[in-house]
Amino acid sequence: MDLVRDVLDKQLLDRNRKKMNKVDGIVLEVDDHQPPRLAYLEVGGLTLARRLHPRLGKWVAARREKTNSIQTEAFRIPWAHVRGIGVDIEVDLDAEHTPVFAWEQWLREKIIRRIPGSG
Amino acid sequence: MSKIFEIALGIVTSVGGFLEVGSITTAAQAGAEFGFRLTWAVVLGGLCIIFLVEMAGRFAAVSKHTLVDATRERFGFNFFVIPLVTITLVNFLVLAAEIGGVCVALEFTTGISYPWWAMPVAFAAWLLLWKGTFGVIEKGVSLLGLVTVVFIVGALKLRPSLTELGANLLPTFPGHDASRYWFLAVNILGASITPYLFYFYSSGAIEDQWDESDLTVNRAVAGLGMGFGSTIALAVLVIAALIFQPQGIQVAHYGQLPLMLTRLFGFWGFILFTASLGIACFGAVLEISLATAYLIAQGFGWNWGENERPQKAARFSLVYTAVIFAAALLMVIGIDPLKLTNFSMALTAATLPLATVPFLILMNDGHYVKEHRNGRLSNSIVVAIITLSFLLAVVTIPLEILGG
Amino acid sequence: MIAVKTLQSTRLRAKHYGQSSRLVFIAAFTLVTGCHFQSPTEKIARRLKMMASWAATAALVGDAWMANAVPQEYTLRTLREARQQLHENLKILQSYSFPPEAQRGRSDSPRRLESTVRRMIEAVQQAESSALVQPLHQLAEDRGRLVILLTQLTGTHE
Repeated sequence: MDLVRDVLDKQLLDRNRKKMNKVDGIVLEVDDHQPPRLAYLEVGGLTLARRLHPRLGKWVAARREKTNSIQTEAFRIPWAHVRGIGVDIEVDLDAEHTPVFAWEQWLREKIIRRIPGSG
Repeated sequence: MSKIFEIALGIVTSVGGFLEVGSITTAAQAGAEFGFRLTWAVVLGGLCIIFLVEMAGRFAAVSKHTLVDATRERFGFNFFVIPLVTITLVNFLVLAAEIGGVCVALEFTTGISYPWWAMPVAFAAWLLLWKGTFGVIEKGVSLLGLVTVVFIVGALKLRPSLTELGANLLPTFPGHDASRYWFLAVNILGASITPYLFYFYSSGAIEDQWDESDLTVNRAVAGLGMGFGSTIALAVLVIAALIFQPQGIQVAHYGQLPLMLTRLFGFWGFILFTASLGIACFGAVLEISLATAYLIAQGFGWNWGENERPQKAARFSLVYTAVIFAAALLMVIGIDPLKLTNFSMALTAATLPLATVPFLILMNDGHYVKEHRNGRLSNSIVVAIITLSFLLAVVTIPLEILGG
Repeated sequence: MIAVKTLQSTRLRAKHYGQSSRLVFIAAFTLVTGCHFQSPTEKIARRLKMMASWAATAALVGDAWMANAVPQEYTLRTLREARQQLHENLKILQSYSFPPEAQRGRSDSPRRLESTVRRMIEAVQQAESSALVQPLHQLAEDRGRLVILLTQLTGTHE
């Protein structure tokens, strides 16, 4: 399996087949006597910022700390939760219960719900 | 039978997609200043978008991915962020120009100046997106868009010399004002080949749940729909050439535009021009806002879809809301719609490679399109036209800024 | 644990501009610009053409208004824009130093255009169709002279 081609930047689907952002990063575990092991999938703006440029990543992380933002660390999905890899990557989680949906939920509750015709 | 109906509907919706403030304005300017000499640009632009739109539909139907999804997957986020930012910016400017087009049409009818209309128009468009579904929006606005057929009627009424038109299917070098000539050519190409159109189209194909059985419909819709749309743009050029050019009128201000139909149809000409401009631009406002929301939402993997209620796609809905009202601000502060149109069309041409090169690579990637890869003809034609547009844009934009 | 920060898939390389690409650019540039830098006569002709364009626009909208083909407010707006453009172009024209071969450009016709359009605006404001007839005649006359002027200046018939 080619991690870059088959996993990275692929669409994530939760256990209800709801879209759950994309695989923004991959975390490998490296032990001395064993080949690297796929440990986590990373999701979130912080990961993307780091990919673009390490300094950008540091800046985003610092800003989040200062503003007590909803997400201060990248969200990691343990590899064990991956149910299938095909057109999309299916994981055995509920998107609503993960920080991935933090902004979606915040927008939904605080703003969108208050506008008529939205439901 | 239902296939024919589907094709007919698809053609109607595509016409709406092709004609908007850019294609109307640039065709009028070209006809007024250079007669039939820029026919080739309209034809070339139309040809290119036919191929690109067909590809966009084919891609979505076969791969079950939208273009945006596949671009990020295939090239990685670090590359993807470049077209993401650039196209969003260009879309934003074009969107503002389209809102301007609707506002100008309203100014013509009511006499109230266009900046006052910017927020009401933005609100109306937003409301339609908020409450409507993809199908309703597409079909409703596009059926209304058939009013633009008046340009074809007008052009035919003027009895243009078909031999002269045919002679200008190939580029000729102008005797005067070379840089203006090529700048208008760039404008026309940028007005015809708009990336938002094929991003919109590929997302639409997913919203409508197309599959491989829809490929013939796709081909017919792309060819006939975009073809018909570019014929209307050509009709605008012909009318401007036969009415404005003999009078020595150069289109320097949007207020001059309705006059091309008043000569032909009197008061009805004025009404129909205004309706055509307003409806065509309004359709474009809806499409560009959605296209931008698709681009951002699909790029980041958010849940998206016009068919979804806003609560089910909060971030997606936020994007199109923000983009519409922000773009409207450009009109509120009184930026000239005509100048913005020229500028954004040229910018579109200059940034075309960013959208189309990854697109072409994907269209030749069997992993996505399986056996429905691009043929050599499609590839060559698109590459040639895009290269031409890009080169011309890069050369003429600085000149226009210096000379204008 | 080591996090792999960047896993890149195919990165599209930026275009490398080689010798041949540079030549293409130079060729394209030359082709397009031709003689972009205008002579004084060309500059004058360009302004006159603009003024002729706006005079023609005023005539067209005046005719349309008389035929009840266009609304009042639209007519006034367009005429006002025409007057404004004529005014500005005239100012720029007058700031040019006229070379001997372009002395004819200093005729009265360009100057008259603005006042004629002003009279048209008044006529439309008072909704007096008949008051538009004379200005339209004047406009046609001055436009004709302008065309002759332009032909003499540029040596071509546009």
